[in-house]
Amino acid sequence: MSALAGKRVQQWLTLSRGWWLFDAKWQDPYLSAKIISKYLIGCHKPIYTKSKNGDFGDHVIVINSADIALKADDWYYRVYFHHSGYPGSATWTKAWEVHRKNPTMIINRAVYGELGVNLTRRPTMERLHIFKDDNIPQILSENITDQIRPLRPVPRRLDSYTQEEQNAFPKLFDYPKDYVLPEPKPRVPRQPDVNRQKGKTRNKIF
Amino acid sequence: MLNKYHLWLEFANVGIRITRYNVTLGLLGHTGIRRIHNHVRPTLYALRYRKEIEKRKNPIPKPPSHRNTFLEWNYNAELFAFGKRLNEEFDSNLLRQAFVEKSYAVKERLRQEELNLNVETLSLKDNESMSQEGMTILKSNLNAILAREFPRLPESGIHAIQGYLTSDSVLSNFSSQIGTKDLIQCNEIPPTEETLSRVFCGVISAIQNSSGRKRVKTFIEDFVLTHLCDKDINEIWDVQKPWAMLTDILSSKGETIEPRLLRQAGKNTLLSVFIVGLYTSEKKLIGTGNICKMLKWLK
Repeated sequence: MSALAGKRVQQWLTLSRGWWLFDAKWQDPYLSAKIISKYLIGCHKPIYTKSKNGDFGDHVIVINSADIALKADDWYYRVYFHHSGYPGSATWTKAWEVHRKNPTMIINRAVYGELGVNLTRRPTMERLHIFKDDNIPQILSENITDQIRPLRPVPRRLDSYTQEEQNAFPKLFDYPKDYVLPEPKPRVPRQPDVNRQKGKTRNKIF
Repeated sequence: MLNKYHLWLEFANVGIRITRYNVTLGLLGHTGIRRIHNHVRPTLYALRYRKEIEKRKNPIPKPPSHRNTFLEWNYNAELFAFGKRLNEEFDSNLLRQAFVEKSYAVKERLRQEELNLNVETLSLKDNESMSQEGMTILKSNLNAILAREFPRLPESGIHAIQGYLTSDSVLSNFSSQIGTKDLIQCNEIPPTEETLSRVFCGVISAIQNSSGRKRVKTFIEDFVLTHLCDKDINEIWDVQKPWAMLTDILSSKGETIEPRLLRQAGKNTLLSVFIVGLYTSEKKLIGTGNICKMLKWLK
């Protein structure tokens, strides 16, 4: 019995399935997808082998998917294609519309595209759990083993600094007391290109 | 129709590099391809044909014959070489005696009696007493060496390793690796496991009686103990109740075990992993497994 016990333990540990946490806040979903897909497929493990029936991947829980940051003006110009099967029912939906409807969709499709075109794609996607904020069901959060390091460090917003922290920060100089600060300009959100022809968008099909 | 290209090929097919005649490109085709040479197939066919002829001639397979039936066999030289191979100084009579099996000695004695020869002067001495002596030497030396090398291993473990290293299968393996197979004088060809192990013990006793105790100890360390390399202790030593053994050892030192959960993965899944560390006043041993399986092991 003890001859096999040590080997049983080693086998169980080697082939164990891990659970990873990935915080997608202010991360590029398509670059994150490359990292996440590697963990889902199991390429991060030395036991991985390229096989059609192989099953080496781990679970990945993605949180804050509502706060992802697409590149440049992709929110308006990146489109997601869908065809229901009926003639004339091809739709190209802009990223911001998709995100508004389902904040987990963009990162879901990004990872789906990174997994490669094969039959293991759908079962592998079953191991990806996406949540729009950081409320994870306890039954899943208890499984987590480790966190995947985010691609870009998440900076602090200037308005998140408290008055105490601002006062404590070393100041080189300050305005004179009788200096009159100008009125702050109103922040106008960037408008899309109005001169573009209606109905035609740059068809980036992903 | 033979032309100059065919002749070229005839010469080119001899040796390592082969030129392949490409129909469309002529000799400008690919050259020097690494492949199975053209002579391999006919060679194998010829060998197979000869083997079948032999089988037809002798349908009953020939029994294996001893090396001494072949050419260039000098038993004295072989014995001398055996000693030199092992870098040991042997008393030649003792070494000769170590290789004689009892059954063979009895057979020889009967043969000599039949031929009415003087039995007392010509009788072969067998290695029975030598092998018994050698076994006791081996066991006592192994005990000492193992106790020195593995001070924390309990007695049952040392006993298990010693039993493994002195078992017939293992000793016969050592014996044949040293090259005793052709030197043994016994009735069976090839010699049995018991014969080989007896001879090995006989050789050990010969070393002690020729060169001394120190020499025998180094011999055992170099030739027997080295076979423990890369062996799993759990395959040699089967512990029936590991938890009980562990608690006994520790309680004799006055310590208790405290198991603690170190790491876990997939707690709520079927394939959950729990890594448990066993602590004895901040010193860590290791253990792991599923909780339900862990409980089974504890019992």
